[in-house]
Amino acid sequence: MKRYLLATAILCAGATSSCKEKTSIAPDLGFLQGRPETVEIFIPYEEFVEDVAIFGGYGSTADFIGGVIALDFGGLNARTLITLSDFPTSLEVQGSDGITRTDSDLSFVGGRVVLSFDTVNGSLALPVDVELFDIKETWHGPTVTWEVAVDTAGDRRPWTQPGGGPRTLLGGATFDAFVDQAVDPSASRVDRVNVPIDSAAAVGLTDPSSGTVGLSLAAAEPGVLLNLVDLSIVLLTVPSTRPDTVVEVTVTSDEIDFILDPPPSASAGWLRIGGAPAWRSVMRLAIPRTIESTAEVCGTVGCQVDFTAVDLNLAELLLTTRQTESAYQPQDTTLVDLRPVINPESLPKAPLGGPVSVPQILPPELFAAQAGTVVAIPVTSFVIGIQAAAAATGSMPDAWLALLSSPEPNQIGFASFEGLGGPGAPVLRLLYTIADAVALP
Amino acid sequence: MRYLKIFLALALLTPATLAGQSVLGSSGLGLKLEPLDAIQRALGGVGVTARTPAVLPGNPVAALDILAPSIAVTVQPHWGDYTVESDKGSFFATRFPIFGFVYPLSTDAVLTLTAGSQFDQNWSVVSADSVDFGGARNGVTDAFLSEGALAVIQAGWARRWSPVLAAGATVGVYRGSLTRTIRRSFDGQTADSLATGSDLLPYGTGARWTHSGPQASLNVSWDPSPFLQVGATVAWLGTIKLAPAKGSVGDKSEVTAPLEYKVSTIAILSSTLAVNLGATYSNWSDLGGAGLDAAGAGSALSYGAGLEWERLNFWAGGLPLRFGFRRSDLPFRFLGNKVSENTLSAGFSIVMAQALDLPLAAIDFAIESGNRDAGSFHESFRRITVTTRLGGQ
Repeated sequence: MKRYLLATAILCAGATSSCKEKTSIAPDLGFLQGRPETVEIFIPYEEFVEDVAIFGGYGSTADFIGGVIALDFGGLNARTLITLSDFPTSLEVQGSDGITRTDSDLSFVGGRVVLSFDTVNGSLALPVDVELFDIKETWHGPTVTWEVAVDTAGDRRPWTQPGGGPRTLLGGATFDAFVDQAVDPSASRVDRVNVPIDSAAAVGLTDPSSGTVGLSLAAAEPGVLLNLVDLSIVLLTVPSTRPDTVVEVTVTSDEIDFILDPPPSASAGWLRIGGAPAWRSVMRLAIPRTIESTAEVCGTVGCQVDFTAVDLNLAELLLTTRQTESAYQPQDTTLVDLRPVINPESLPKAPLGGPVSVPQILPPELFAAQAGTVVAIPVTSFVIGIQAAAAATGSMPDAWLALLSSPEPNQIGFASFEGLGGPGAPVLRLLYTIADAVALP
Repeated sequence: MRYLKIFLALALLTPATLAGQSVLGSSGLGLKLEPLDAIQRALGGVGVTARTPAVLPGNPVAALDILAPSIAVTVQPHWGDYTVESDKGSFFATRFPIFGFVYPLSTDAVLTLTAGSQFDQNWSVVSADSVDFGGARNGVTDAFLSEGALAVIQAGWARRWSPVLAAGATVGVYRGSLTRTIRRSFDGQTADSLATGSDLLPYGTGARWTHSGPQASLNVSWDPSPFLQVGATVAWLGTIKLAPAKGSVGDKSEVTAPLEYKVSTIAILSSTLAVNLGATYSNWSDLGGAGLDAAGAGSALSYGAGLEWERLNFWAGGLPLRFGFRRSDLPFRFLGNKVSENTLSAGFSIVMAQALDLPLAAIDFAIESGNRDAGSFHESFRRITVTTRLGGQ
């Protein structure tokens, strides 16, 4: 008996598990019920934005990997400040007898500073002269500016001389990314240049009593901007145990900061994101409870439907790009990130929620030659959240949305968008679908 | 008792596992599913008379000669193709049209507990369209999906009042659920050239209903001679109620199902040959709603006939071979046309254990090839039915 029962169980299991059901799919033969209607509407700025605020100062130049130098680049000056790792005070040197000994009596006889520049962005078309200076005044990377060396709680110290304090020229060089290509067109771009330093400069760098605390790199000719990627120093030293030998010692950079002059002027009626320190644009949204619909939905022209009763397929913030001041035009792509503001009363330091969509990549041309382009930033999940809150509470909630760059900061240039009403002001585009309830036959 | 537990466990699965897949299920209550076992399918029968005692929902008289507690399970894979105007499609599904348990009270009386399929409500419709947004026409696809089934769980009792006359009755309840959803998806991933990669969320809505309602039947069997059996069944299909399931919002509905009359006879022509004839009639009109009334087919007549030839032996008993045909009117119209189903069938049984010439364990097999037609709609299908009967102390 049990075997028959087992056979039956196996039969049933086989019949159900080995066969994937396939429901016939017929074309619409006229009995498709409650056919949905999809409607697209554009809500103008005045109807969905309650308030806008532009905040700056997020992050610092110290968050950058690298530095910037510029001299009168669209009116912008920038210098890079570098602190170096500890210099060696001793070396393991192999003597003439083949035995390695520690030599703590080193004599530095010169060296070179190796600069690495970005070969994609910056003033690369022509050779650029750069100059290297020493710095005698200490600074605080996260708060340093052109005017102030340290600006922390209870400690504000301006530079004795704006732009990094008094300085002494250590050396100069000319960076030419295409120097090799002038000889061989198939050669790669050159990203390095050496600034030779003499023995006095080398000793000054290595001797704590000299007062030198760092290096300052600057452009030596107007109208240029370069992005410094890395810096290291190669010092030449003569060990006391092998006076006939010159040894190279490499010291890397410890921290690279940069200072700008003048800082960008405040935004006047437009949206700004990005820059270093970074800017954010915060919008307080007030989406209307009733929104436009179509005659297909309501049976009448110019009708309205309850915003909470529709199923959103898409919500986008349509932003019109504007030309950023030339000195601060983005050199690289800007990743536009939108995040809900968790605690708006704490602005500008309010915490932000997670991204409402994948950050959108906007090329730099949109803020220069192609200014005026409309870009669509998806905010579907954010608006659906507003819908859900409105449906739950019965009233439209306050919703704050921050526009920022990602990461923050990532370049000194910033993205600008038309805003605060007028032509090109932000528009909320909604695509929604609505249908009658599914019914019985 | 152990059989009863097995039966109850299987019966709970019934509404979810019943799944026919023809688009004919879009009309009215769905595609009619008859709770017939493999013997009845092979003979073109209507579920009233048979030479072999059987567990048939709505007919406890058929189980009177089962002498030991038994269970019966029927599995029914089916597949087919359809054409409607210029469109074609195919479908495949497996149903469990019968779960049954029989408990003999004596040699003259029996109790049955069965679950049998009634209507299949699985179907879908897909429609391509385009809508305006982003300054252009954009493709959309609308899909309407109906998933559900209606079954009846019945308790029955039958008694042989004399050597030639038996009668029985069943009472039962409808069980099942229906889920209907509509979904719109957008063919493109982005709305238009303005978009920078925004995904368009599909639209979807739906509702779920549950079925309930009573059903009952009366059955009689008369053997005017040792070579002839005549049977009849009157089934009161009751009022089928559809109510929104818990947590779902939707309208309610009640369908007044008609009386269903079944007559059948089986004649023993020789020691190896028998013929089975049967017919059913019901009037699917005045169903209780304008929409359903329009879909109702009105008079629905079904009839079938089959031969059973048993000369060979195999394993533990005879090896009956069966052949039959069946023509049925379905209770609901499709696109305004009455639907008729025609099948040719064949089958056999393998007896694995028997006592007193009555099978204790057997497998019945039937295969049908048929078609359904309604105006420009044509559907051809194949259906295999396998019934396993197990009995013992």
